[in-house]
Amino acid sequence: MPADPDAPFDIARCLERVRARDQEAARELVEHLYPLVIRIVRSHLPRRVPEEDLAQEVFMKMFTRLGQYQGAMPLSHWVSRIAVTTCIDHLRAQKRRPEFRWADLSETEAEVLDSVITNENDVAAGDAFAARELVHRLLDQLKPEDRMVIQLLDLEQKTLAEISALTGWNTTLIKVRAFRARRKLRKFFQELKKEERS
Amino acid sequence: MNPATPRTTAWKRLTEAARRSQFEKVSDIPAPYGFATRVAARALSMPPTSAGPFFVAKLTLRGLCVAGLLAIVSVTINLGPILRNIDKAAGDLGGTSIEAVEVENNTEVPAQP
Repeated sequence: MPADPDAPFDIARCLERVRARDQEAARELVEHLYPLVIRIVRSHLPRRVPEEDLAQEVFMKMFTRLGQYQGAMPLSHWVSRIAVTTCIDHLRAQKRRPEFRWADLSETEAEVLDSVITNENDVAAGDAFAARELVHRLLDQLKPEDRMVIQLLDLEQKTLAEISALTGWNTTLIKVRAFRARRKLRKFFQELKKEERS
Repeated sequence: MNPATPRTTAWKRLTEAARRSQFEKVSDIPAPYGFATRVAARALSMPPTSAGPFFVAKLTLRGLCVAGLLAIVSVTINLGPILRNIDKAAGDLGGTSIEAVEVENNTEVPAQP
């Protein structure tokens, strides 16, 4: 008999079936967790890595380590941590971070950067996409862990507790990473300002 | 709030602008067609892993750390006697080397009283 689509997803029962090597249960688990995984993957996607490949890698790790999952935390938190660490591993593997130069920016991106640096004009609503691209270019300059923290705090506006649940890092470590990232960004903006004046 | 922090300056203005572009809601996006089936099939084609090796690995790492710590402590504690032994050994070697040089030069070694 097919499952009722409106019934709440029974994770415990599904895990039990997956552990008993039930392929249908494994497929249901992937479908259930896909939105969570793809949200993390899309937000922290390293350049040149297709999101589907990264999502698949996260799920493969999840199934490989399912024996270690003791149920001490919600499954969604556990899978989030796997997704976060997988993204960080890929970001780390990109050894060389692309250099940020005015010359590489599109016209709109340069205008947006100019307006936020000089603080003269507000960024136009239509330039939001360019602003997002710029933010990602700037985040590329940071260490993967610092980038993850600052992105979750400032872009996704998550609380320290939420970031801690998502990454498994304690709040002190998160604050240290955020402080380090902001200091680097501040320095970077100062350099850009100097460059712009010259 | 401190106006010098990047949250209130360029960085904050930039992230505020960037957030406006986050119009897509991924919470409702289903997995691509065939994705879940493919991943499930691949995952279950691999041999199952138990929690055992993970705990063994964790214990092994912990054991290695403890062993390293003990090695450092024992070297620190015994550094004095070790140095004295080295000095003594060096002294002994010095005596031997003088004798060896004397033998090489065909000079007679004075008899021990």
